Amino acid sequence: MVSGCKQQTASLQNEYKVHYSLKSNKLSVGETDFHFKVSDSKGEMVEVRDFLVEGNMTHPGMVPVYGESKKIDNGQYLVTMDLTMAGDWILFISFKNAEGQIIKKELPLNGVGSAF
Amino acid sequence: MLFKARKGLQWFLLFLSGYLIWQGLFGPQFAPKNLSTMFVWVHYRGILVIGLILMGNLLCMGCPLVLARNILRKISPPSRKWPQQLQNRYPAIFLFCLVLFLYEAFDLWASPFYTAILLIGVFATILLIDGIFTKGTFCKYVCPVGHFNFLGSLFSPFEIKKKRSSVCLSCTTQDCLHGSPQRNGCELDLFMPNKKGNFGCTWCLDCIQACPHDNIGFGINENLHVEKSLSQLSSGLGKLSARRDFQFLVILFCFGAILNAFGMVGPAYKLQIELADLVGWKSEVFTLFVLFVVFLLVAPWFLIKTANKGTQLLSKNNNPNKFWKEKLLVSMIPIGFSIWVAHYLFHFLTGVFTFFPILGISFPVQYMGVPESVVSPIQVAIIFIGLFYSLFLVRNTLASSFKKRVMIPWMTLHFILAIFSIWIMNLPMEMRGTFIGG
Repeated sequence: MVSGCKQQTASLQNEYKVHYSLKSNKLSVGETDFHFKVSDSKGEMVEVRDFLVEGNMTHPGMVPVYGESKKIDNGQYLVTMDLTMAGDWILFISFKNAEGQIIKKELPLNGVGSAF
Repeated sequence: MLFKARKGLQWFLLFLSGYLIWQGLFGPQFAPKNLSTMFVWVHYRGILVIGLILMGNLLCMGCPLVLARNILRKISPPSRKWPQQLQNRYPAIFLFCLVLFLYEAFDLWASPFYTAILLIGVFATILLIDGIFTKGTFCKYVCPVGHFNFLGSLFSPFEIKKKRSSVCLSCTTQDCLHGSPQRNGCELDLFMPNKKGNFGCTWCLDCIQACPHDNIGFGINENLHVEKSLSQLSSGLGKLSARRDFQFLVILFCFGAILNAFGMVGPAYKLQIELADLVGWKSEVFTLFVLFVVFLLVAPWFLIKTANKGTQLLSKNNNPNKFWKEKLLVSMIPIGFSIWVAHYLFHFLTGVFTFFPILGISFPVQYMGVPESVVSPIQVAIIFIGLFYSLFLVRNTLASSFKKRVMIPWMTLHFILAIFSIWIMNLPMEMRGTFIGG
């Protein structure tokens, strides 16, 4: 039963894909705009809600940053995050699908440069 | 009461260590979401330096390794003596270097798994060494953290000391050193009447319990003139400042502090990438090794040699105090310690409550840590305190014997170390898991 539940959860998580692009060419410390796109297994944009993004440094003890999400179209969000430090980050993304199930994704954000 | 508190702290830290090992091995493998990396690299180091500054060697006092060792020794008491050739601080110096190297090479701060392996390794080492060899062999000769604490606690406000010299003079049993059938004596061979300062003392309280005259307790540390106290004969240690192993330990402590902080900023990464490109070998272990050789051997050798040569020239080779070189080396301890404190406090203060979300407790983001804008001036202030302490020791060593200008070379050296450290601490950190060859 437990493995069945895990399989179902894993396949549900794999049904959705999340990509991001940057509004600016330079990835550096400070306020950064991300354009997130959520698609299904066929590659089509899907309607989701409660789209949240949390950014963490790879070093423990650094205060996480949370993005402000703004829906711009179906499955598309503009998220502004204040990247507080140069280095490697991980973005934790969560949202709900049409059935209200929570989907979680992790995306690397490597090589954030210093502001200067 | 004090003894029970120590036992309680040891049991608490032993259980916490076990939990952190389990978390590191089986918990989420993303460092900021794992208590193992969080507590070991942020909170433990922060609490350690705060304890040293406000009290003394508290974390050696509550060391869970010693408790685990004592449990083992009840089952299987050791019988052998630590080899004569290794009765010095070189094993601890080697392990100190090794831990610094592994920290960078394996990005231990970013890996819960490797952090757990390190903890297991430390427990295995003490159980192996103190399972075979008698007394406090691991603490006295091997433990790198203990030796960090020994140097840091030189400036602690409290020490364990005798209450009345006259009682010690009339004592015939010397239980504080040798123990009695009921009580252990000092496992690190410190004889209380001749003990000076905190170096070599783990605050284990054995001597307090062993003294039949109730003549040992906590008191104000009166050995803050470390250039003097470390140049005098001390029980179980000899004349520390003249010992080659102690001098290497001081150099490692000071330059290791700078290296450890430098490893987390952009120029360190750039330097390593350029070096890898230059030799055409994209090996992080190699570039790190070169960085370690430069920071821990070449730079200290050049800077200290130059400062000594300058001092000699300015004094016109007139050196009435023949111990000035070793006393001046001791003056590096305060600046080195201040760099460690500034570095560790940065991580601790900026992320002091970041563990709450990991425990599933919601906590306002804005209160999770002290803002960097507040912590940065504190760091600078700490380094300046260390700098002035070091300058004070230089003055104490040279002022009575020479003209003021003789102090310039060593004071310049301390200024260079302080300014370089402040520059590092003001650079944005670039914490990267991998950067050479992907």
